[in-house]
Amino acid sequence: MNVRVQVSMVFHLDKCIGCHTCSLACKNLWTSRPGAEYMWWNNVETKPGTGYPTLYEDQEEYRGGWEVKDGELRLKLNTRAGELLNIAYNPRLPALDDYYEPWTYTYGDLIDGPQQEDQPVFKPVSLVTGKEMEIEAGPNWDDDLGGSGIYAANDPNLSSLSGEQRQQLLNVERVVFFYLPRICNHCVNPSCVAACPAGAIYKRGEDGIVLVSQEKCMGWRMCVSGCPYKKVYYNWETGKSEKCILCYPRLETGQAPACMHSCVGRIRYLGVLLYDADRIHDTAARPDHELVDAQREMILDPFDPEVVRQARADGVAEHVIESARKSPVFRFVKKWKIALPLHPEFRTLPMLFYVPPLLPVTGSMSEEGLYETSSDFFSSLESARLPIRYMANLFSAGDDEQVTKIYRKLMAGRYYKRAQTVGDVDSGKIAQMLAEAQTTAGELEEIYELTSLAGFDERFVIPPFSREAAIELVQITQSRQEGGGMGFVHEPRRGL
Amino acid sequence: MQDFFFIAFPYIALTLAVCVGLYRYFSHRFTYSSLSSQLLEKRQLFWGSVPWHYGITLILIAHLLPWIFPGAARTVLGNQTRLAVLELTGIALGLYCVFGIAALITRRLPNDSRARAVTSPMDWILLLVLAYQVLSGVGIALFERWGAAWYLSTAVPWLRSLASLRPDAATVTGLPVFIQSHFISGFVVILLFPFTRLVHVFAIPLEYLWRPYQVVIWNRDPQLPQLPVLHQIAASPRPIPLNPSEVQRRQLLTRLGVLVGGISAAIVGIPSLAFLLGLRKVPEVWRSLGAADSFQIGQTVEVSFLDSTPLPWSGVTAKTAAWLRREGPEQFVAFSINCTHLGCPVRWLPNANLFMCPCHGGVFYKDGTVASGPPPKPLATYPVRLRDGMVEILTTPLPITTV
Repeated sequence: MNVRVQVSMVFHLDKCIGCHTCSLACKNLWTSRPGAEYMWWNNVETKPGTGYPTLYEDQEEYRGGWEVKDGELRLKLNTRAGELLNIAYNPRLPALDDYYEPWTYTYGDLIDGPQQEDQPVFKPVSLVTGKEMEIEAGPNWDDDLGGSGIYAANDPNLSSLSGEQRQQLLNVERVVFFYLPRICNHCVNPSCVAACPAGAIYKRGEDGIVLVSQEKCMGWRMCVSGCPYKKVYYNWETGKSEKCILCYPRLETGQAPACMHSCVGRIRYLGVLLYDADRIHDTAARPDHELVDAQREMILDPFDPEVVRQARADGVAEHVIESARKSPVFRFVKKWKIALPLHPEFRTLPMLFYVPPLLPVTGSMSEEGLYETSSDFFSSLESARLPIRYMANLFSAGDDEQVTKIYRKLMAGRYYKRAQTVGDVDSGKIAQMLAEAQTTAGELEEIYELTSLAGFDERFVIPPFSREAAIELVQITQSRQEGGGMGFVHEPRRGL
Repeated sequence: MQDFFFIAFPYIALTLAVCVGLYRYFSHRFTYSSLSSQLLEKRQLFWGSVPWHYGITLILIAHLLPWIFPGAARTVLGNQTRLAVLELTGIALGLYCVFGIAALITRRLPNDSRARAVTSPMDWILLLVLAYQVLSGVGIALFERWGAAWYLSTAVPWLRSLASLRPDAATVTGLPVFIQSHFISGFVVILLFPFTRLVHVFAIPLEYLWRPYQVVIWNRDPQLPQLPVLHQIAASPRPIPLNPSEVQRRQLLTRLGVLVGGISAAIVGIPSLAFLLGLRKVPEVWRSLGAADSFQIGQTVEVSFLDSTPLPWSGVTAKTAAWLRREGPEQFVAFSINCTHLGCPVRWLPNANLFMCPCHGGVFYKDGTVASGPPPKPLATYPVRLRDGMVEILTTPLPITTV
């Protein structure tokens, strides 16, 4: 056992209202620069939908993530030598048109335009070429178009659904969608790191945040193809790749990342997970249907004395272990088992987990023209408007059972609370649902607390980083001053 | 003027390339790469970048190899067929490059092209110089044929003289101006290295072939003995100091290890490589076999002589034997003692007038030609000469036997 620390996240999709406040908080803080306009380190997608960049989930096209070939875990992109041979031209790189061409408007025309009969107008201008352009796509171009045959029908996750099921999704009465906010997953087995020829991308040992060294990055762009979530972006102005940094400057000063801090629906949770680094390779190489469970096994219980002993031996600070015990992520993922990683079949072991949305209310027009909800108040799994299969394709590598188990528990929670507050559900039904969901009233209360009532400090349990002290310990200032050696030595820089 | 272009300018270009290149690497590391525009424009780039990079890499190697191994190049190009094949391959690769650079330039030309938006003035200069370089190269290949061969006697001696710091441009000053311009613009490309995107040539990440897939960086060094954790420091009255000599000793040992490994690799590797490339020539020496008078006309006798480079401790193993026959007053012939089949020593049977091999029954006539048995070729002969009444034999390396 080799205990490592990961700052990880849970997004509760039932609560996401698709307002894009997270995206804008991130954009304003980090990516409103030349070359980065098209980057959305945080974006919110409508599902079913094609995502951003378009069809990023289609790994036959982009070849991101890992695959198991002859029992060996290898990059889906290419062999190492093959990657170097493709270095002059990366055939798997999405082009700007797969994102969109960033633009602004000639706002100045409103003020400086000549006097004329008509109102002055402004024109869209490309932020790349500076020339006038036709806008053909933009971020969230398919926002809220869940039932659209143009956009949503192309969603790669629909491929294993039967023709009938797909047709249902387009019926007006059933038209359905939900929102999927995405940031970098800060994977435990990141394929962007593995694909980087320059060795510029790395995972921080102390907190597991994946970063791109801008000095080392040579702009070979293999990480963009290598990441199956397309969360590494190439800055065409600087020639370097950039990605979500999990707002580490904020985390290090005890603040929640900007996207989480600003989340209106309070869907986001952040906390520390301990995991066993010796098991990374074995876990990532498991067959598809075992991936979710294997990843849960890899995550360690901070209440287990054996784990705590090993964590101390591996240099995990005491207050980080303490923080791991309070982690909301640990409870969602490992204790209650109601949060799943996005596309575990990419085998990068993503450390951002999603509580799948229930999408419960099914209404229809009755013959008298009245709007009726179905007799089952919250509807049932069988009549779920989005097929379980679709959710399984997103969150459990196609294993329906994983999703069903979670839905039973979430559903039991709703009936249990309704019985408590409204009282129109009989206790026999509640007992039956609790048994089916293999849960207890106590557990449901806990889930309810953290889901609905939790305050800021319970949702974001940020471990103290004390990076300044950690640096002081290994970089001996005296030896820098006296024995800096020959050649080009960087002076240690402190402060601003 | 010629001296400036062929002696001063190359040194200026190289010095600037090295000094500015190093300066840029260490102080402006962020800029030390090529600004890719593939994200912005991808279709035309494919037709430009792929032919250009593969073509120019092979052509560069073809230019460098004869410069580093002129002897080997002369041997390879000695054959007319090989020369013609290489020449044709070169022209094909050159045209491939021309096609590539043409595509690379045209994709940046249109006024509304996205690639143009990220093109700097230095990019234009570089593209033009490179275009001139490949066009003049192809021109030379087409109009001044067999460049692969005359390169060896013109540019190579000049370049080697530059490298050995004894510059001598005599072999290139008489060449047509068109050819000279190719040489000069070659050094212009070198000069442009540190000032343009060309620096990416020295950033090719070969290390990727063997580095571990995952990179994890710690603030603390996990190799070091357990660091005092923070709450302990807070609790203890004084911070526990880390022993700096520990770090330095480990660094020193690592560097020593790399150094010793490198030296041993060089000791083993350089002679092996030289042998494979055929650089090491065994010297040929005339060895005396004794006075001519001691051999009778018509008699075949066994003689032995020392190798050309005997080692002090090799003793009798440094000796080689041969069969020597005096055919006339001044005519001698020496046969190799080794059978051409598998190298067993053959015996001379005076009664039968035949050489016979004891191993597999090979038989040779008196003149060394094959009489019967497995040997595929006649016995090898050594050159023999008569000098001051002494018989001398030339220690030539024998052709290897057939297997």
